[in-house]
Amino acid sequence: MTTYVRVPAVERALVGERVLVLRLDQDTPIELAGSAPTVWSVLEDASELPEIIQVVASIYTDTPEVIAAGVEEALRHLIDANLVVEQP
Amino acid sequence: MTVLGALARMDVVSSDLPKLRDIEINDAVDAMLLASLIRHRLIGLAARAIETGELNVSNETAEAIVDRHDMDMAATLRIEVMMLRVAELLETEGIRMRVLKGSALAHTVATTPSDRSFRDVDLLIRSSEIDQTVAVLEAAGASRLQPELRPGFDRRFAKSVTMRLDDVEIDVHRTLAPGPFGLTMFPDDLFLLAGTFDVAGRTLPTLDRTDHLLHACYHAALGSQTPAMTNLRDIALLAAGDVDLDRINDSIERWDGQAVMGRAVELVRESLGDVLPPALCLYTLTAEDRSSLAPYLRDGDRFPALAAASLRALPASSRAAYALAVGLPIGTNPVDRVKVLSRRYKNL
Repeated sequence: MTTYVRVPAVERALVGERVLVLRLDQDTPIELAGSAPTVWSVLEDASELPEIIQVVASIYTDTPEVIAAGVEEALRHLIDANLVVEQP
Repeated sequence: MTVLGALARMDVVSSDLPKLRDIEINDAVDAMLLASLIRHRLIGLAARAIETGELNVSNETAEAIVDRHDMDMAATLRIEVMMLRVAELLETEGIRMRVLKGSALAHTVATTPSDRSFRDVDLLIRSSEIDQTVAVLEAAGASRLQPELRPGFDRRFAKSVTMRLDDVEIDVHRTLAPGPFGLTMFPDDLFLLAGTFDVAGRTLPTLDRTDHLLHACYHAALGSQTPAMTNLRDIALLAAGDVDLDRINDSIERWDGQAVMGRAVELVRESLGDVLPPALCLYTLTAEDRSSLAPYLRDGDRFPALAAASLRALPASSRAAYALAVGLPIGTNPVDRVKVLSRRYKNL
């Protein structure tokens, strides 16, 4: 099963449920907003998609379909930002 | 400005002191609040208080505070990455260190790390390993902001060696304070016990809480005439936790630092109110203490007064070397010497 792993980075919470993340090998931090901060945080302890969705679902009251779509979108964003590595 | 005091004692256990949400912020205070928050490095706390509704300011000021917090946090992260890089370099060379102040306090004492910003990497290094540390950092591309006054000065007398690497300032501390109080303390005592904190999955060594409190007091009392409120908050937060007051008393007696503690306690009480444990409030300033603090509290350049006081504090066997180094730094002619000395006080 595919796993999702955070790259080594430092981070700080910002006002408005945003999070600022800086990879250890980069100079420019990336701001996470929307569902990305939650998924980023969940990835600290979970790495497989069903597990990630389950944890997020325990936080929010949306339908499972909405949550799954939101998690997948956030994961794509984190992968595109080089903050998460997808491992087969 | 009472709003600053109320902000600075947020989360600090206290009884009848005014709470932030009870303080009215008029237009005049609102207009100058951002500048004051920057000066006292309370932006992070203010941003959190705006989010929780405890600090009610105009929309314009709120936006400015949040923008400034975003900027501070971006800078803070870059400094933290540098701290990890330097820690790895020193560990590879077998050099022991303790992370001081900023990042360590943000992760171990602040309610949330985003409360506290910082401007440089501060490390405590044993005197015997200062030269090696500077060499390791120079080999990695760092440059020192000032040359060593004379060979051996850094490891014998300097408060710190300030270096810069990739636009980040790294303060390699030998001791906790400039001048005589930095010379009479025993910084190796701070390597006896350790605290730790985690950043990006890496565990870093720092001072234990009691030693952090001692350092916070030295920094606030001796760093400037009017310390930033965030430094006074550090003292209040640290003192509110589990600290070994007997060890503080023992260290202060051994380091001859009663005046430092007296001033630190006085500063906290003046700005934050009665937030300190009664046992700490036993430290009060005598006339003799105020006299010993005078070189630190001068207007303008405090170098000459600190140098003179340092000379008196040193054992007779060290005075000639110290006087030669500060009076005639190597590689300077008498004209340049005056310019060099005026920039040196920070490292004394």
